Amino acid sequence: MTTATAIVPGLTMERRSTFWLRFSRNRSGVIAAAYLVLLTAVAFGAPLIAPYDPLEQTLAAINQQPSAAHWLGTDDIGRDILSRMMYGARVSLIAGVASVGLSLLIALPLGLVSGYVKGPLDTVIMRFADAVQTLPALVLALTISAVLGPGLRNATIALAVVFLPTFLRLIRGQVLAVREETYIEASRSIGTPTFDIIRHRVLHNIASPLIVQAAVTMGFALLAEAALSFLGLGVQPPSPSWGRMLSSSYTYVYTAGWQIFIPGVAIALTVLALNVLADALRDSLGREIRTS
Amino acid sequence: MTTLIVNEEVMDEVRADPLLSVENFAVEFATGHGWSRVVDDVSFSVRAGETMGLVGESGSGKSVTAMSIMRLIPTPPGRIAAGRILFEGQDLLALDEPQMRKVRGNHIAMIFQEPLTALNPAFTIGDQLVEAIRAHRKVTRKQAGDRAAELLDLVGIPGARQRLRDYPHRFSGGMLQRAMIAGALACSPKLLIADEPTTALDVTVQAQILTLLRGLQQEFNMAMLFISHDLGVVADICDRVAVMYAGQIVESATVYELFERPLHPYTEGLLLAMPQHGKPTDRLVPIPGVVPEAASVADRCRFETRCRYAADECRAAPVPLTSYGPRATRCVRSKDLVLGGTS
Amino acid sequence: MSDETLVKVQGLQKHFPVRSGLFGRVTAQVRAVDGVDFEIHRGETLGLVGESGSGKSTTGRAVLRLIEPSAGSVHFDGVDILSLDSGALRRTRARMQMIFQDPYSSLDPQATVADSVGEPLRVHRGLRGRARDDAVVELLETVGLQARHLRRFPYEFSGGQRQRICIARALAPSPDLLVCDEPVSALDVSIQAQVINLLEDIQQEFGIALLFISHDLAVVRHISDRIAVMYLGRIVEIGEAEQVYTQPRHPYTEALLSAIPVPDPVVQRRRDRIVLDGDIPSPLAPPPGCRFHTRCPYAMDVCREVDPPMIPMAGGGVACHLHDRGPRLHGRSVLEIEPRSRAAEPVHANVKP
Repeated sequence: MTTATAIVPGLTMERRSTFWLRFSRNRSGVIAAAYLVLLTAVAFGAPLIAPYDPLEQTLAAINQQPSAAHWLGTDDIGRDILSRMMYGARVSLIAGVASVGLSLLIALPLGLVSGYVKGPLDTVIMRFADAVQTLPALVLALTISAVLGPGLRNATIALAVVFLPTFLRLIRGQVLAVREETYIEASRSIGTPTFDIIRHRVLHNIASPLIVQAAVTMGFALLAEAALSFLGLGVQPPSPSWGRMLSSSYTYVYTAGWQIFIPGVAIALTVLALNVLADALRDSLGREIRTS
Repeated sequence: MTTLIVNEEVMDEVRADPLLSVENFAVEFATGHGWSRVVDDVSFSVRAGETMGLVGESGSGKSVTAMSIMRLIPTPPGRIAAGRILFEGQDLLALDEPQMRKVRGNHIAMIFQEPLTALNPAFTIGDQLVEAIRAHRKVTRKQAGDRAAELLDLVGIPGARQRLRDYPHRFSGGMLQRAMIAGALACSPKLLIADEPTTALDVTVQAQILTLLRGLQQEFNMAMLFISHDLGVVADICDRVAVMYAGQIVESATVYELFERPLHPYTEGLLLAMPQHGKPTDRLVPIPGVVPEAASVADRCRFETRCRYAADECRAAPVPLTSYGPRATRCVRSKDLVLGGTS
Repeated sequence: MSDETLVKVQGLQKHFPVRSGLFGRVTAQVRAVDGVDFEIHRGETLGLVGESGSGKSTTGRAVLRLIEPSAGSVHFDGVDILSLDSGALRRTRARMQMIFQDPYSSLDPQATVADSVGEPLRVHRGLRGRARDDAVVELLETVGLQARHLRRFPYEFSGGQRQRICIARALAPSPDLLVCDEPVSALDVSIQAQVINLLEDIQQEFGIALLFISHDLAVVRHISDRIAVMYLGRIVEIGEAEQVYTQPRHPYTEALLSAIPVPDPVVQRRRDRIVLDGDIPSPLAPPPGCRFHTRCPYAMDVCREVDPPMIPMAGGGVACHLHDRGPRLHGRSVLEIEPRSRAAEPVHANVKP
């Protein structure tokens, strides 16, 4: 995971080796990680490995069952489903990573300041979080997408806003716990400037739960993006996306029932993989502190 | 070369049937790489009415030993690897859980270092005492309540009947430990295991609790297994002492003999390291280094790495506990070393 | 050690508001530190002894202004540190460092030894990379650790070793004052002696003044030049270490000494012991008059009404009516009289000739 090292500058060589050692012993975690790596490779290598152009229509061969020529069959206007799945994976992954990344980009500085400095700013930020959380997540995402207009970028922004309170709350809660630790007081007694303390001491020590939460949220983002696309607010046709494919195959559920399972299974598997990965990360990160 | 005088009178007492007898006891815990033996070849006994001290630093295995007697070691990750624990002649390790529950709190009671964590914050002190009493005695709630008030009064809590209605957080640390002692006394146990009962308390409160325990012990002729890291407290309350190091008993003796003339270099080291030793301007005499991993010293004397008297013979083989009359030591050089004590 | 004053604390108070109710109104004040005066000379060790709730740790933190005192003044090398702005305070902090009780929580678990010990070097001297590492290695060697420990994490060390790392970190900015808050309480006796010897060594070598806070009077007596005894937010007695330990002037000091068990069964079981009644009263509502009168075996009527002032004496002072109104000890030790609980007659009749 690139995110693990990007978020945690404190993961130095020694720390990483013990982390990898423990992670490598977690078999389901390794399988999930391998699946996600493979999926990423397929998604971004799609132009090279996809057997067909995902937009190429072959009206002579619509709704075909899986065959040697079309491993996963063709859709209602004769496009190769396998190729569309490959290209669609890219959309799903980008939506997941970008929405979580954007959300963290906003939540991290706000949450750190809110938790460490407290005061009126903390009150304002947390009341905002409360307000956002009173609305059901998907309804909120739908509303924002509808206001901003359909498209992958706007769907990503909508999801980032939806995730914001969760991250804010998590970060603030972690910071509140960490700031009471003696090593923070030690840094203050040394005369270390507050910003320096937040960057060097607080951030490292809240990273583990944050990474885990990011992985879980990515799974949710994938699902939400699919839902938005299904409802026509995400990626616009003819671009392939798992949510879109789900929505178009839905029409032919009686005539070509297998079609709905392909994006469905892909979404379920990917969400599952992200959750298993999150569990494995939680079990592998930061054990040194607990066992000592 | 010194001779060890064996007092025949003391020997008679030693031969008398003990209340609790721990024999060649060993506990192992599962780690990432196999089983780690945290208590090894531990043997000691507690006679009716006496206070046996189990003294050692962190990681010496003294608390694990105490918890094992109550069968409170979680299995897994722990397991009892060897030995017997005889209480009034019956092997506690052979009892099933329902039988053990009858022993726990009834014949053997235990108090802990942190009384607050041993009590349920959601119930009043009275509720918890009543529950403890009714677990072992067929009495009505009313009778149990009266007994609870009596017990609180006994351990010196003023206004006992009113305080029964208080929740644990309303009690100070010293008062909580008193309440814990009251609970432990509920069924007049024959043996009280006290695991660092005063470590979390202030010294003036510690003095109160030690005085209380000493008084209660005499009143009820109760035996006590007193676990502590503090040699001062041990000197105050124990009749006999076993010193533990890295999972083993390295020396046992009566409290007077142990302090006056230790037979094991570790005991000597502990005494010398105390700030009360020598003149206040003297430099303290620490024991160098840290406690080693038990596995790394399994083939030799476990204290050898830190011992100022270590010789080749100490590295040759594991050292057995050797008895000299009522005393015992796990040192191959005990016969040619003259160690310094308090005298 | 010299007679030059390094730290001068006057009328120090720290009250913590207790908020309750729906709107968080302040309903009471915890008077953690309630009027404390003392001085620390250059290179000397002042021991600050007390039980939980005595305010000793709060006092230590207020001296470094890690918490803002409610009243009073703290002068460090002639500068009123309570008047400094945050930038000036941070620069001054380089000269006054702290060691904490718990060696497990006082090091960042995610930071290497080089990072932790190097923090003051980075902040105050701008050292980075190789230059920082070289300086850290030198500090590690001063406290008995080695260069190979540089890239290790706290979890790889024992409690005693961690405390050494903390000491190295505190030494990094070359301080004049080291506040040690129960630095050996979490350690085993054998390790405790190692750390105390180390503290004595570095004090000798660098001429640092120590404010040594502890509940353990035996340890404090060993390391201190002078001792101040605190009870419920006040200093009740201050004096030369040997005098406080062997000839205590305040009944609380006597009780504290009496309560520490001597590691010798022969001596311990022959001692006259004073077992104080009850608990330390709540600092929310300290008793009127002398704060110790509720537990004092010598308490007189005046003690219940009049708060005893600190009476200056040779080498220090004592705040007790036994020295100004009672049996008139005039600075002699309280050991000379019998406590009321043991004496049949009124206290003043028991002054030995």
